[in-house]
Amino acid sequence: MTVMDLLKKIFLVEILKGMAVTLKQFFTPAVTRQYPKEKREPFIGSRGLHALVRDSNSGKEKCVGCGLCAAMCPSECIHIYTSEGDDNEKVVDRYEIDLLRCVFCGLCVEACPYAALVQTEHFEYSGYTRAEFYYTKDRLLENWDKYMAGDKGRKYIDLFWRPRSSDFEKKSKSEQDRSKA
Amino acid sequence: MINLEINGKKITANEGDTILRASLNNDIYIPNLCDDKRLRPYGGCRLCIVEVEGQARLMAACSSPAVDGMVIQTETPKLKKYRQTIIELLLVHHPLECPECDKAGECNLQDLAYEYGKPESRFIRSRKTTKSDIRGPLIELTSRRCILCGKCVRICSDHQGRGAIGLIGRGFPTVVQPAFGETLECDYCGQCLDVCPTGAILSKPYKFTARSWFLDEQDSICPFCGVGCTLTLGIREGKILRARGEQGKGVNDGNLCGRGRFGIDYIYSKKRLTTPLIKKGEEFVTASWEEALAHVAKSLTNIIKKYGPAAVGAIGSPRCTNEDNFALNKFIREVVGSDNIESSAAFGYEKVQKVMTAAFGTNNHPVNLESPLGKEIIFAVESDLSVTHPIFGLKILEATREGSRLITADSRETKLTRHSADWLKLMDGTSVALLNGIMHVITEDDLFNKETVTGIANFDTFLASLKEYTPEKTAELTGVPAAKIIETAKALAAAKSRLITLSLSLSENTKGSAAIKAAANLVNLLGEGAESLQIPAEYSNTYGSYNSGLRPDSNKPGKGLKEMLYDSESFLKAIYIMGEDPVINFPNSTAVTEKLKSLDFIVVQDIFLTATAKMADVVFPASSWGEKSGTFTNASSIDQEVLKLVDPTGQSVSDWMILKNLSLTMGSDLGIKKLADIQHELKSYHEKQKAPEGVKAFLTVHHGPAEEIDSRFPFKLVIRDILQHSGSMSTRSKSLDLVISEALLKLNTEDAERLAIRDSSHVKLSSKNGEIYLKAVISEDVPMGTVFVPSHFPYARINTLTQLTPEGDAVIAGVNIEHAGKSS
Ligand code: SF4
Ligand code: SF4
Ligand code: SF4
Ligand code: SF4
Ligand code: SF4
Ligand code: FES
Repeated sequence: MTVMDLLKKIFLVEILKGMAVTLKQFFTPAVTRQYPKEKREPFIGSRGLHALVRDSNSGKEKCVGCGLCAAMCPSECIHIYTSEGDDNEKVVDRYEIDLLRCVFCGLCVEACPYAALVQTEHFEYSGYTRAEFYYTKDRLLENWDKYMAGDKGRKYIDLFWRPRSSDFEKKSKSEQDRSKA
Repeated sequence: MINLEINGKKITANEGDTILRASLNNDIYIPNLCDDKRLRPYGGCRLCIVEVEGQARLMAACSSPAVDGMVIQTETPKLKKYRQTIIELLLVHHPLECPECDKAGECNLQDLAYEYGKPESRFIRSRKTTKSDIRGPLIELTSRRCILCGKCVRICSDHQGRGAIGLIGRGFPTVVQPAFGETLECDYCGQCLDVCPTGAILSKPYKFTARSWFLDEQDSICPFCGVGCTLTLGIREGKILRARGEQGKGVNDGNLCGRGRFGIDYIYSKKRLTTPLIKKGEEFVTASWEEALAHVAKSLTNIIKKYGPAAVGAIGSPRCTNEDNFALNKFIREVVGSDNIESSAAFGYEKVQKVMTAAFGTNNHPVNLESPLGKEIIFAVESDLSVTHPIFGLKILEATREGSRLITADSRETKLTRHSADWLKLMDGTSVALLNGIMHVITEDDLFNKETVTGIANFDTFLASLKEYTPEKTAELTGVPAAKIIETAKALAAAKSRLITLSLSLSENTKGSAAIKAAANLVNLLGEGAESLQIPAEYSNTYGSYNSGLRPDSNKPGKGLKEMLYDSESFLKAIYIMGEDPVINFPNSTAVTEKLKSLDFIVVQDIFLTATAKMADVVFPASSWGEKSGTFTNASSIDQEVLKLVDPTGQSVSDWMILKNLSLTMGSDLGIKKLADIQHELKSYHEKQKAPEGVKAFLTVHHGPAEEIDSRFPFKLVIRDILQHSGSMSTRSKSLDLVISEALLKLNTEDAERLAIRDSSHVKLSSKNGEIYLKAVISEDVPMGTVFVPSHFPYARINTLTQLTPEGDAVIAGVNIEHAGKSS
């Protein structure tokens, strides 16, 4: 042990350094938020509660029950049941997400070829039973009405759906033009 | 064997293989869309192009033969570019609807587009939008997704011998559809569905029920006919949704008929039994298992005490597993102490076994499903094997494509007659006369094998018995021209190899033991062995159940079905029936019903409340195929495992388990705790059954005329099987019912005119045993004076009219036809 080390020990240099940091923090503003009294705006596109997109024309879900979201879901918590409708079309009878198993990875949303499934910014939900977290098709559609009201949903899809929906529309328009020609 | 090198890997291939076959057989994948090993090379899609060293041009692997020493590259940048372009072109008009297309996930086109497709296409044209053709039952055609590979058309015409669909039109608007755009009417084998590389042909019952990746696929054995095909079943959350064939698996190697593919939904019939039932007065009341078992145990014990064990009998089932049947066998022999046990095989397959043992001295007669291949002549006697055993039928067709000469003797046009070189159009029920006539020619002309016949017993009596069957007389009896008979006899005698084949079903009434005897004589006469006579066992486990002890022991006083159900002497007081519906399925149902009514106690163990079950005192609900494990032994004696795939319906329990529980209730332990115990014991039972070979013998038979056709009953009633059904079990399938759901009486145009019966009108059919009501259809297929009815449909109760001969054969009955309204 050198003399220097000995002196440092005697005068508690390390401790003083630490105290200095504490003192500095004392005068800087706090980062802790007093949730739930104090809330922060979620970032756009943050992955919260799921919603099934309601098609503004038909008033029904956009989902066709292709099952790609369920195929991607790592926690296998999406359950889809389809059948043949009266006009021989495909009907989504049940679309269910067992939210208690969901890890909010967003892969389901990414997989959807129709932009029929989104994750809203809503993340605060609680309940006393498991059933409350078992989201059926109707509840998921309600989520859309509730949390993606106005043009919020539209904006979300424009920003986060790949290929971006506006690009896609542009392209499909040019496709149409070309095929007309 | 030839040697070649593919992608640097040295492989060997069979001479004559294409490059594609050789490489796929060695687990080297080459993309392909229009190839199938069952079909001739087509070379339509060009995706299978490969580079061959020393060849400037790219070669289509599916249509170029592999040559010794070839050095082949299957994945090069150049090939990739070409394939990309091909896929790009295929997708120009292809609709973008994978999300709604049931093929997605197992679509070859989709897979290849994923591998070779480009995100953007250079060619943009409008996409096809033609509507799906949803008119036919079971199969849906969506031409807009078709890539015109022609596989469906080729499998249907070349392989199945049906030719129901074609590619209609030219160029881009070409569509796949039945001729003239009619509704698809075909065999409904669904083979096109399996070969189609896209979603252009899809199953209707499966439509939109599950995406392919939601399915858990497992293999089991088909519950219908004796071929014993392996079904690859798609199960979602405990429900079987579909069946498909997979190449390389099972005796069928990917082929299936419509029964196996669509018919298995019978297990989901709403009419399944769910709880034990006990009859109180006239009504059934549901009961707990304990109650029902105690009731049966008590009643059976009382009857045994009062009348002795021989007053109890049992009927087993060719639909149940070996284990179930063996448990019944043990129950009746060890717990009850009786020997009265048999199954419906008594009216069908048991006769085959007995006759063949008598004729050839051999003990077991499994068929060889490959036997038609390579035979110079195949002779099918009054049987449509492509109906009774469709996949065996396919082998016969395959043999004819490879050059075998098929001769059929049948009264009406069938798939086999259509593909035969010679069709001897005989009158129903005259095959014995025909065979005797043929043998007459062979013996007269000294065309038989003299060395071998000398060693066969009864030759002289047999020879004498043939005397009367001169070609002229035979022609008169059978309706086949004498010249044809002579020609056939000569051809059969001259052939280097031959196969004689027929089927004998429970319900058919045109041939019985006599026909088999005559066929066996012919084989013996020509100096061939038992392997030249192929008669497949009827149902999925007819062969196995017969060998699991479902027959009275030869050295014990046990009684069979005939004594139990048809003898006027009433030794029987109680009967235990497992998985069989004698009232509907056995000949002369009036007699059977009378007999059952006279019994003190009836127990039925079944999956449905059948007509027989309705007469029972106690009904036990049994688990069906798919709900229990066990083994089936197919017609070629292969033991195959059937799996428990889904949960049993209601409170139903496996048949063997019911018998085990009942034995326990009756205070005796069958010595079985689990399935493996039965299997173990069954094995040693089979060992014990092995008998030494006997001697060959000729079995003299004569053409016996059908039941008297008199003025009161002037029509011959011929009962045959139809392709879409198997026994009466399949009629509970929703899918198969979409194709044919009722027993239609087919009658000749002239007869109909004479009786003033219009098409689709209801008629009353009566024989001396009873009467039934059916819908009549008028058809050219049926000869004058004959009417055809399929047997399968329980509601039609065809067996009300039939008759059992003292030999235990069902014979053609004389019937009368009237308008339904009139009284006789
Ligand atoms: S967010 Fe992830 S875990 Fe949750 S449902 Fe979607 S894919 Fe499944
Ligand atoms: S991926 Fe989209 S369209 Fe497909 S099932 Fe899921 S939500 Fe519906
Ligand atoms: S046929 Fe294949 S590629 Fe075409 S829509 Fe169906 S799944 Fe997609
Ligand atoms: S329907 Fe299917 S199998 Fe038939 S030609 Fe079209 S793509 Fe090929
Ligand atoms: S019924 Fe016979 S031929 Fe048809 S799939 Fe079943 S086992 Fe195969
Ligand atoms: S598989 Fe060879 S051309 Fe189609």
